[in-house]
Parts: sequence; C-alpha cells; structure tokens
Amino acid sequence: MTSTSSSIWVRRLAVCVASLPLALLLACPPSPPGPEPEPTPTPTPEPSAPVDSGEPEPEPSDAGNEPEPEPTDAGNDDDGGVVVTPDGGVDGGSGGCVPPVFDGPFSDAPEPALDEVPAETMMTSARGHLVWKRARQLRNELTDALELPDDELCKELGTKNCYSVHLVALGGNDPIYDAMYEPVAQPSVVTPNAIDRFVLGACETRLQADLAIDPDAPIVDAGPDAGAPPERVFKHLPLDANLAGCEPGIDVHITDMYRRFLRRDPTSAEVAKVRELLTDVAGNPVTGADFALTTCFAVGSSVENIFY
Amino acid sequence: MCHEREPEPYDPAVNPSPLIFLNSYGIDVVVALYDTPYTSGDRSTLQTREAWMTTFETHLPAALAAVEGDDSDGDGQSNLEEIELGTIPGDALSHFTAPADPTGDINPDYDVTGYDARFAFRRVATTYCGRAPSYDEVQAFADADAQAQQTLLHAKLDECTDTNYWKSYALRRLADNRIRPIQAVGKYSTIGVALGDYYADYRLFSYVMTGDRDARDLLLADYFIDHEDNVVDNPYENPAPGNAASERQHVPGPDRDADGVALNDDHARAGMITTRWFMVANTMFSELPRTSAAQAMRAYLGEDIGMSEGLRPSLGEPIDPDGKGVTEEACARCHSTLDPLAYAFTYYEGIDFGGTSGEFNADRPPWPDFETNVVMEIYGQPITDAATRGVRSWAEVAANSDAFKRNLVEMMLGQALRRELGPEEAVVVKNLMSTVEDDAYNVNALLHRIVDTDVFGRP
Repeated sequence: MTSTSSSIWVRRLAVCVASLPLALLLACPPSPPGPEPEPTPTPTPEPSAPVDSGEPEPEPSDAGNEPEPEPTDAGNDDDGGVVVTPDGGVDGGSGGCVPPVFDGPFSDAPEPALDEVPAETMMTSARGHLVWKRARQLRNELTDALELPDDELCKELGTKNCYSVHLVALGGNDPIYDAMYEPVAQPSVVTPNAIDRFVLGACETRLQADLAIDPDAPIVDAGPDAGAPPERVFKHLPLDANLAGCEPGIDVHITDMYRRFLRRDPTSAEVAKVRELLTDVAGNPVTGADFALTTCFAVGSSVENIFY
Repeated sequence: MCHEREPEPYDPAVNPSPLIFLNSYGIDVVVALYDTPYTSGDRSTLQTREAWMTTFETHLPAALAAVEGDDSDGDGQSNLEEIELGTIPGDALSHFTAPADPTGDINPDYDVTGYDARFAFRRVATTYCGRAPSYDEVQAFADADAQAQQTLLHAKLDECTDTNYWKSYALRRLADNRIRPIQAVGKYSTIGVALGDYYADYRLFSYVMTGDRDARDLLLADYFIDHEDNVVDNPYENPAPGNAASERQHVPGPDRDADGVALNDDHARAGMITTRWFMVANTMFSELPRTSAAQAMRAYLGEDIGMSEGLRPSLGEPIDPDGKGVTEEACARCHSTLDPLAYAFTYYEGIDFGGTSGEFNADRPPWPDFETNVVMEIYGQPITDAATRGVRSWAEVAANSDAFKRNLVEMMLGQALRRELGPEEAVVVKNLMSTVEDDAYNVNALLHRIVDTDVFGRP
C-alpha cells in the first residue's frame, strides 16, 4: 500500500504552484486563503508491494489487454515515448551533497524579460477549450516520466492496477467488459481524487524503486543480454538524508521534474514556490525522499499536466 | 413515442392548434405559410390539424425562405445564420457570438491571438501519439522557424498515426459505440454463447481509417482484416500465434468463420454494416430490422432517426409489413423514413442458434410480395436489388452522400477537440467537408487538415 507522506494542504499548495503556467492561459482566480493546516508528522515510507502479487485480474479493454492481439507497430514499439533528463546533475544516492555540475537554466543567466509579465494584465485565451488528458494518455506520460512499466505504476491494495480501478474517473471507458461505449464527457467529482491517487501512487512506486537501487553497488557483468543497470530517476538528491547544502541539486531536481512531466523548464517563480516543499508545516527540513515524492506529485498532478 | 403507448387520436377540442407548441421561429414560419399575421387571439384560421399539415407541406419551402432574413428570437442573429451555425432560431438563449480578441500584455507561454504552433505540436502528439512530445522535441520545435515548424508538426502527425496508440487504441475507442461489443456473447464468451466476433469489426474499422485508405470502405469493404493486418476474405483463417483462445477456434473452411457460419459473398458485403456481429447486435431476432438501419445511419451517417435527424419520408410508407402499428400518425413521422431504409437489412439473419447468424438470405422476408409492396429507398434513391445484393446497394448510396462526409469530418474533428462540436466549428466542418472527396476520403489527409485549423491550434 502506498504511504501518503504529504499532507493534503501540502499537496494543494504544490498543485497550485505547479499550475502557474496554465493559470496564465486560463486566468484562474487565486484560491482564497484557508485555515491554518494542522501540522502532521512525516510518516516513514512503506516498502512497495510486489508488483505482480495477487490474483490476476481481467484488464478492461481500455487497458489494451483484451485477448485480441493488437497489430504490430514496426518501428514504434514504444509508441514513441521518450524521456529526456536534464543535462548534468548529480547522483545524490550516496547520501552526500556533492555540488553537481549543472549548466541548466538556473545558472547566472538573467531571466527572460517576458517572465516578468504579471498574470493580471497578461492576454488570456478567449476560448479556453482545453482538452482533458484521459486515462491512457495520462498513463503513457507517467510511464515516460517515471520510467516505469505501465502495469507497475500504481497498485491499489498492492494488487489492483490503479488504472483499471479508476478507469472511468480518469476518463477512460471499457467497452468489452463494462459495455461502456463512451467515456464520461467531463471530469466527475471523483476525477481529481483519482488523478491524485494515480500520480501519487506512481511517484511512490518510483521512489521505492529508487530507494532499492544501491548507487554504490559494484558493477557486475551480468552478460550481454542483461541490459543497462537500473538507474534512479530521483538521482539529483540524496534520498536518505536531509537536503541541507544540496545546491544546486535541488533546483536540478525541480527542473528534472518539470522536464519529465511538463516537457519544459520551470520559471524562477515556480522554482521558488516548489522549494517551499523543502520544509514541512512545522518548518522542519524534509528528507530527500519526501521532497522527491512531493515534487513529483505536485508537478505530475498539476493542471498543466492534466489538460492540454 | 410509438414504442411506449398507443398514439392518441387528434382532438381539436383538446388541442385547438399546434401553434401552442411553436417557438417564435415556428410562429414566423406559420405566419409565412398562411401569409396572415398571427396573434395569440386569432387561431381561427388553423382549426384542424389536417388543414394545417396540408398547407404546411405544400408551402413550407417558400415559407422557410421568406423568414430566412428575420431574427425571430431577437438575439441579433438572423434565422439563416442560426440554422447554419446550428443554434436555435426560436430561442434567444441559443445563439453564438464569436469570442472577442484577447487584450493585455503579451502572453509569453501561449499565443492566444491566433494559431500557436507550439501549442498545436503538443496537442498533435498528445491526441494522436497518446503522449506529449519529449522535452527535446519541444525544444527543437521551439527553435525552428515557422516553415520548419509546419514540417515538424505534420511529420509528428505522420509518426503518430502509425503508432499502436492510434491504430489499436484511439481508433478503437472511436469504434466502440459503432460496434457496441458485448463480452458475454462475443468470441471469448465466458458463458459459452459466442454469437459473433466483434474483434474482426474493430480490425476492419482501424484498417480502413489508417494507411491513406478510402474511408468509404467503412460501408463498402468486401474484405476482412486478419490479426496481422492483412486483407483476407476470411478473418478466421490465420489465428494469431501464441493466442491460445484463437488457436482453439476451429476453422472449417475458407468460406466459413470460426464457428462454421458461412461468410457472406462479396455482393452481400457492405463494410461494417453487414458483419456477423453487426447483425447479431442490431438485428437480433427482428424480421424487419429497423434497429440495424437506424444504427447504420447513426454510426456512419451521423443521423439519429430516434432524435428526428435525417428524416426524409418516402411516399406511401410505411406500409408496416410486420404489423407493428407504425402506420399510426405519431409513428409514421419517423417510420416513413426508417422503414424504407430498413427493408434491405431484412435479407440478413440476426441471431440464429442454428448457426446462420448474420448470413445473407434472399428468401428471409416472410411476407408475400415483399419487394413489390414496399419502397426501398435511401436519400431519395431507390434500392432495387436488395434481394440479390443485400445492403451493398444501400451502402453505395450512403457512402457517397454528404451525410457520410459530414459524419467523417465530425467524427475526426470531435475526436481531436474532445468536445461536442458547436457553432464555432460550423464553418470548419463545412470547409473540411469540401475537401474530403478531393482527398479520396483519406482519413490521414483529413487529420492533416484538421491540425492546421484555428480551432485545433489556437489556445
């Protein structure tokens, strides 16, 4: 079962932060200030459940697992999914904070002038016809961003694929087993919860997979067919320690999350907002693992990543 | 209405004038019909429904033309403009006003004043590849000049329409409501009642809609597609290697399907609307399969007769050969169109546990002198050879109709925008329809035109 190491208010803050660019498009009004949230302790992440444990379940056809064999797609076995990571950076898995060699957007170069245009006076779309990124598209992008197989992204109770469990809420439909021939036209009241669950589950799975990788393990020649050794995705941070002195690795990690999910670089304002996740509600510094999880979730579940 | 209760006879004492049901546009039309000013206190000129209907049918074309320039509901748009945009000319709340141009400082993230190529590029990838372009692709696109961006965008579309996501997922979702599979009685029935194989339908749909093929084959294909995407006469001859379920199927011969049911000859094949599954799912046990004709119209011509769409009554119809009571006035309004469309489908078996489901059978209509008594017609064109060629002659008219073009455009544009098309897209649909024939009904070509439209690429 996935641990929920970020409290609700932290998630909302992070989602709000990560949705800044789309707000520029839609001119969403800012949320009114809410009550001061109760501080919550940071739970210890639980080990992830075995990905293939439990009874096999018939996947809905929306999952593409109906018995009908699908046509081959020569030259496009992976549907063209490509993951790009920032140049440079460090592998923070050693627990130390060696300053990375980084030539990213947060060097001393000045911010572009357009970045300073205030949202209040900026031209916004007169149409606002954004498209909801449906279940399969969201799943594809999570697999790309987090370098996980689609059937391992997220499991309910450790066994049930979140994609299948929340298929309808995520905007998919199962014509074969449910005789549901059209997906829902609009997101339902449970769609935000399903998206949050799916993305958080995927981020947690990635985090647990990263924690299981020992970056200091000796390289073993496993033979020509063994493939490349597994590599961490959250590789710019020390996951098992606090992040004091991890500069500019923190910014590199934030940039990495933006590039993986939103396929762009963050603005300086976005980086500053995301960096607020470095401390918990009590003002105490969080560990690298918690920061990796909350930033992954915040960017991955942002409005900009859910609509296109 | 006729399926729920007996239609009530018209009683002028109860309902003195149908005008009470009309909106402001309808009243204007009636006024034009009679060339007499109408006031709420003067309904004496319209005393009987019969008199009204006679005048209505005779003078309607001229009356409609006479009020085209009026603005019946006073919403600022003429009746003709509203009809062309798809809004209701008799409802002031139903109208379209183009959004005003945005004002303010330059938006650094999106070009909200026009077609934003970067926005369109991302939308192409997400819509047709099922995933956003990579960071590197986005960067390369942003660095390219306008002409190169056009090239990259269309190259991306070509790449996407060749992916498994598009061919085996997205297109299948477009087909779901057209095929309407039912797992319990499908090829992999878990209750041992395999009445048809809707996967063959899915394969045919995806095949026709890809590879620069002629989309009219949705209604005209006389072939099937096997698991390896090959055109075959019998989709059951090549079970997929490693697919245990397929391998278990017995294939008795080249002209029979996996269950031994005879495949229809080419003359009786009409793409998606004569497959065994289509007849099983729609005709079922009906002698006169009105539901099959209605589904064919709904799925491939975009006209839902149940919603009073596509009504083109045939003179003398319905004659109600199966005695369902459709000659009652309330029923005849739709069945005078639907029944002539359905007669051609009566030559195909529906569900038959004796092993003939979906087979063409020229002797199936049980009514004496059926062909000579009924009017077989689609879009005003008579069908004279249904008894020998089945639905194929029906489909040839349908596939070359404007309704087919419109449905194709609306299907693909609606899929691209993922919303109900409205007035904003009315002109776009019209323009795209005019290109379908020049593009030889090629869906890929249509998609290339769609991604260039303002409605697709303008945030």
